[in-house]
Amino acid sequence: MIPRFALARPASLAAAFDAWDATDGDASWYAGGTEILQVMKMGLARFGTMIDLKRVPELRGISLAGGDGELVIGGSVTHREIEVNQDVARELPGLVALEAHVANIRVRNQGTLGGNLCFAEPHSDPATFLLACDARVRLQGRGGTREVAIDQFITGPLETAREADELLTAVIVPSARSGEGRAYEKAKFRERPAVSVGIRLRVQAGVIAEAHVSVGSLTDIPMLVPDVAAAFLGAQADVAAGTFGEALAKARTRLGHLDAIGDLDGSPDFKRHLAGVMLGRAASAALSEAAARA
Amino acid sequence: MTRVETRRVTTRPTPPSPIGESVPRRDGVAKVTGAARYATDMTVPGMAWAKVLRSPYPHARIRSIDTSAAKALPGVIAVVTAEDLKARGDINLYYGHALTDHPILADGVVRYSGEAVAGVVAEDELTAYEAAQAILVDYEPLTVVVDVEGALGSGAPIIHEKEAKQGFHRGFDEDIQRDHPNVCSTAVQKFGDIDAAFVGAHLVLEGEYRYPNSYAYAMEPYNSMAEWRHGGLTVWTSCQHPFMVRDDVSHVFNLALANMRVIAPYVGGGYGSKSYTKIEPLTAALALVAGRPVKLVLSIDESILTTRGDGARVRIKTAFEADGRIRGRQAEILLNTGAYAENSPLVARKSANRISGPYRIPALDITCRAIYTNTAPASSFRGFGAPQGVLPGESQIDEAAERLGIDPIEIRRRNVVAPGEAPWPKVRGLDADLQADLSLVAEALDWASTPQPSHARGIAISASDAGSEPVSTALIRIHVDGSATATIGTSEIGQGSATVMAQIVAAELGIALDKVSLLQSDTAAVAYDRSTGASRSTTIVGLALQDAARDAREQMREWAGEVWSAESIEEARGGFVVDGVHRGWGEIVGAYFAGDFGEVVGRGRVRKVGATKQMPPFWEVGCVGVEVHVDEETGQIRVDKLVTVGDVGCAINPQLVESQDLGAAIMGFGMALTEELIYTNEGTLLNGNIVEYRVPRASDMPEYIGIIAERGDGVGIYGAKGGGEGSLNPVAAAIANAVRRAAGIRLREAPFTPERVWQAIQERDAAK
Repeated sequence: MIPRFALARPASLAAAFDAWDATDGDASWYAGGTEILQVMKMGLARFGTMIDLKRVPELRGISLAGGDGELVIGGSVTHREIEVNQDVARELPGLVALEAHVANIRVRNQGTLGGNLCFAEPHSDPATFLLACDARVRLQGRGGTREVAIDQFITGPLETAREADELLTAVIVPSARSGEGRAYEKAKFRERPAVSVGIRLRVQAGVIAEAHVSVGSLTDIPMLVPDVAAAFLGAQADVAAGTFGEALAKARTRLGHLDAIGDLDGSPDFKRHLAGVMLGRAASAALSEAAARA
Repeated sequence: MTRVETRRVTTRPTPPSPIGESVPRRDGVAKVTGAARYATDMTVPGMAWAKVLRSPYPHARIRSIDTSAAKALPGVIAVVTAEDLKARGDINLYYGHALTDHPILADGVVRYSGEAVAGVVAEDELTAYEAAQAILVDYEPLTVVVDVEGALGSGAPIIHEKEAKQGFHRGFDEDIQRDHPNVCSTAVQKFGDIDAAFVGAHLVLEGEYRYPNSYAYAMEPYNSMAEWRHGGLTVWTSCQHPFMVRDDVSHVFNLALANMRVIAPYVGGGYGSKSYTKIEPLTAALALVAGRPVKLVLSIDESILTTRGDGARVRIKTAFEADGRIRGRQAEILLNTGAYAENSPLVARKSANRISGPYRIPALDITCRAIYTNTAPASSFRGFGAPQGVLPGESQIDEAAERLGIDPIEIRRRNVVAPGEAPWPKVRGLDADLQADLSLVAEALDWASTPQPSHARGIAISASDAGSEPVSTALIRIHVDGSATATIGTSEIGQGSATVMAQIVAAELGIALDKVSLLQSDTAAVAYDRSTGASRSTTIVGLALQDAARDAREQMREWAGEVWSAESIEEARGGFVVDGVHRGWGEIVGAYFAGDFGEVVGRGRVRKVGATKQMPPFWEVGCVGVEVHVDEETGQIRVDKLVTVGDVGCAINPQLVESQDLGAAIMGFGMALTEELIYTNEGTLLNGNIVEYRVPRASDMPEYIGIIAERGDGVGIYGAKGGGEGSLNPVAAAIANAVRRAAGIRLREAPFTPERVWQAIQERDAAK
């Protein structure tokens, strides 16, 4: 059962921090509650006060208002809101496709992108993709506001760089440059991905000039794998081309050296194999998008 | 939107209205709007709440339990352990209808992780929960065994040191044989000369197959409420068999059946998992100790720890002639029964009966043993031992077809028993036409055409000797306004009994459906019924209702004769034509009692005589076809098309038959593809929740063709017979057979997870 707690429901960011200050720190923020309430039900966490962020207007909304038209997604925007947003569909279609398949429809309607990142579940879909996208998060506390790159933000399984009294107010994703394609592919057998791969490729003059690859649900945290990404550099931006096939094979070999963790979805060997399959599919999708942005 | 198509093939005579009509479910609106009442919704004045402390150890001796901190919490009414119950002297701690091996609370030893160790009663649920967490238990861990091979090994821990007494439910005498202390029961099915069958065979196939420990996942978790008043006990509970629970609980508390009342309101899903007794003895014991009505509602996670389905390891060997005819089959089935017997002895019996399939086999040698392990207790589960054996049995039929160069449908045609022919001695002949059903599936699957690359089709068939004792009674009261109330012990578990039984009453009395009401599953108020399971209700209770209607009509014929000094009384719809004048039922009742009052009570019964003398009362056959796609990169199997045949004799309500068939088949997808309770060797359940235990969902639904075959060949009213399990039993085998044809791999361990498929593909490629 969910243990007893006091509930605060602030209606502004300032009121949220006031609510925090009233608690002596035995408190947790929550928005959708799809992760934290489960953990509390299981008896693995308890807090004297839960501060509900759903009514805080500063955490809402999606815009292209960042520098250079960056995509800015409010901390309490739900997965479903992202999935149906036209700006996201145009700017970062891979995220729309990802959000359409996060967990299940109940989680998508209730759970938030910010909550997902703050919980830092090793199987997180968005964390894996946003790593490849070079996204960053905006954290705000009494002391001020800071922006942290996703790969600096996620510090371990269920661990982030966020201080307990800080709020994740926004997720910021740089806009795609010309010749750039971003994609995400996962194998999913249950609620969470079995393995997932995020990729960002930039094509110049028909060859892959820049590559970033992330993997999720494979090791203990979603992580960038630069040596896997490097395998693609210089390959022709055409899945039918021999150099691309060689690059993919090399990338898969390098994936195979990762220290994968077995779980209910499969052994480390199988999960490494799946990662290779997803890498191929994601790379192909990213190249298609890159061609469209050429 | 997935394409769904219904086909009906009807050769039976036309029954009276509204039989054969898909009238809307009577409970539909209430269930969709939330107005329907389940046991969870019930409260009584003065009610307190209970929670259970469960063992974290899969096998341990309990050195001591300290309840003082829990008792000291404000709002706590009682904290109860097995010692407290034993000290009273008025409670028999152990229950179980097959074997009385199950203590209400752990009696000095815990045998699985999640076993109930103590109960707490408090003013509210959260206080009870907090108090349960405050109980201190000192455990001494013991050696653990979670699998059947280990449990039969020489160094295996003995899970039940004392042999349990047989329960009140008869019929297990021959099966309770323990050649090893961890054997709960043994069932044998043996005839013919098995040695000769193998010696002269053209082809002998051998294999080892596995079927998972599973969970039925009823949306309503186990829950009950108990109240002691005036020396009697009333229990509201989510159960399939209120009368069997009544009998079981009455033994626990030494109560006369008349002082023991069990009420089962709408049951939010059963699938066998709510057959027999679960948490009712504990709830009643807590209420007795607390001196208050007590309500206990388990979570889904706790429900998983209460009852699951039997996993199986099957070693099977089948001998064939060159033309595909089966010469003999030998099998050893080991069921993982978990810590307590529950209904597994009967599951074992049925598994032994059902592994041979609907075939003409000259020699059989089948042994099925239910094995105790340190896992949650297994019991009834839709299909009841059949799918565990149909996967190996039907896989070998396909394997033989492939080796002998015979089409999979043709090899089945050469072996399947004809209508009226018994698959083994001393049982009813098959009351189904599987040759015809095979043709229906072949046509719907477009069997003769070539599927797309990476796609293939597969079929499997099965026959279950319905485990339904023909013991039911029913009362129909016809009121002075001509409306009627029927009382039956059948529970509405989502299968649609509230609708079907009303249709039967309306048809038998010739009155409008909206003039019929039903009272179900209150042991103090309704007529006796043995159980709601084994797909029996429409057939057996339907016959009891027909008999009750006949009895009411006979009484009213006498009454009409007396009242009107009639010279001729003729049958008519809704009444009699008495000397040329139509007299409705209400008019006859009123005339008999000389006023605007009175009623007639029709009594119906079914027992093991006449048409229902020979067992089984009916066969439930399964005939399923699938088309699958195999993603060889990820190992994922996708079922693109599903065809089932509901061979039900007469569909009282075709839409409900189709719902049952589709539901059964999709439930079969679960164990075939995704569902398995995964235990570590140390006895920890890794996925005891509905997030990580993956049941099928609407998005897994393939294109579906549901065929209803109505040939009037059942023992029930208008030729009806049971449905709702038959389309589950062959599903895993049909999928395995299709995957073999799609990818050239033979899957022998269900569920067919992506990794198992991937491994099989690697083995296939390595062998090239």
